[in-house]
Amino acid sequence: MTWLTDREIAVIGCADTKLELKSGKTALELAGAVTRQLLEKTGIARSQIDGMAATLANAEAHNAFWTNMMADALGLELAWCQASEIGGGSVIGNLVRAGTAVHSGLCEMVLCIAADAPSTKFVTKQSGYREEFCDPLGYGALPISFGLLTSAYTAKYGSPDPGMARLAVAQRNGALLNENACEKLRVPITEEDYLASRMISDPLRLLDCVMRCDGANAFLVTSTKKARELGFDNLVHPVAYREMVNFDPRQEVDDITVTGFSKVGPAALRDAGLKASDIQSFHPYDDFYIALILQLEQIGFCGPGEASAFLKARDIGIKGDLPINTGGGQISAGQPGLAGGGINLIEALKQLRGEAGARQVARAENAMVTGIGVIQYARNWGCSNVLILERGA
Amino acid sequence: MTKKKPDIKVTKLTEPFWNAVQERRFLLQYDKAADRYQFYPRPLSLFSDPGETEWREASGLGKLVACSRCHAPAPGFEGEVPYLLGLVALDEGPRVFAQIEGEEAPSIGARMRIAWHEEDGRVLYKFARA
Repeated sequence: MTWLTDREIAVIGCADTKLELKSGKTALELAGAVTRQLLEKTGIARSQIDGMAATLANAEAHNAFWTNMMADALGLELAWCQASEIGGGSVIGNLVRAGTAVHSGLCEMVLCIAADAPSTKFVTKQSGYREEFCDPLGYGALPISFGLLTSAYTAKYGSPDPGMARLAVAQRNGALLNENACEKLRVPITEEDYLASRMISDPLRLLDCVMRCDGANAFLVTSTKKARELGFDNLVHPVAYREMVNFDPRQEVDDITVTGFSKVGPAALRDAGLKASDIQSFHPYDDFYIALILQLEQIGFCGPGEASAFLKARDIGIKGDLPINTGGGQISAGQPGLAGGGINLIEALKQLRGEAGARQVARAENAMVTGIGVIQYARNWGCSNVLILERGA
Repeated sequence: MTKKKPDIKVTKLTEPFWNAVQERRFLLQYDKAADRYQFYPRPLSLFSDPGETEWREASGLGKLVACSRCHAPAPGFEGEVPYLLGLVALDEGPRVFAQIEGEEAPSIGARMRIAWHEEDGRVLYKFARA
């Protein structure tokens, strides 16, 4: 994928709304708000946008024509339009799908947009094995899958609690500096608070879990050539991207804690010609902290079973040597449903663009962002994807 | 207030499995060409092409690979919290999700057996220490 490593694709601007609990707004209203903000920030006119890549929305899942309706609501006439349905991996997936469409000449300027309001309206149903082989047997909600994963990890390597407590505090500190984080979550916590929070699906605690809220995020993708022609000079380039959907369908890996990141993490780094230790800030998809433990190990920041010790040995705060989810991540900023992956991505874009304000990290030449989507039966998750971004010269 | 437990959404494909459960037999799909078993039931074999499968009865024995004490119940399970949920790797290969009997979680790796119970006029499966 030399068109990625050669920096032929650029993100020219990004925007996100304040995350709100039970906003009472529709996903379309939030999409409108974030689009207005993005147009104002970039000066791009809607007539210049000829492509759109959206995520689905929990609040609109009954609508089989969601992206067409959104294009109409936003007043966009499009040469290329698609929705990604790889769950939490969709937002970073959209960045590279948009790049592919631009690279192949299908369109020139793509609005990547994610808007959802699951704390106001939730109509998604997970059918198939979930309704037949999980829910009737007592499966209540996603924390159970991650509680099971944590138990398997703990049996093999020992409890990752000390490292997860570090993550919980570092991300919360990021949310305190992030005005767009959900107000309910902008309260300081200590490692003791994390460890004392009540069990939801033992050994998984309340403060391990993401909270659903409403919000939207968006960014514009075009060719680097076009971006320069239009006079944009603060560019962020996707330089490597790998995605894996439905890792290990035959259960050949005899360990439920091994995820698709064990493949796509090292592959994306190899593509970019980087080592994990070269990554300057890390923005991993965080629905539950155990997912970060597994990602750190399987992408290659540390070895198997070492993530907790790694997190204790490193400084993962904003001024640290490996800042992680500097805006709070989803766990401390809130998860706007299927727009959630944008929380991690927009923060990385802001860091690389120098727009992170009080949260600005010192080293912002590159960043890694990940996505996780969909829960599988008796394994872990369905989609693992990794995106490496670099700041333009 | 305890809600009704969710209905099992049986499909044409999975009807033989659920009928066997009513007789306290746990069926797996078996691929004769590959000599491999799979669960949950899928429209074709995961292991060989073109993907023929047949039903075979499982031993109901296996080992525990994950276990969590659930405090956030599914609808209809409110009166049972906390309860144990687990994944058991059957001796035939596939992993199965179910409740685990008892109050104390068995250790990961423990030998397990299927445990049948009847509620609301239907037979369902859990696992218990073997």
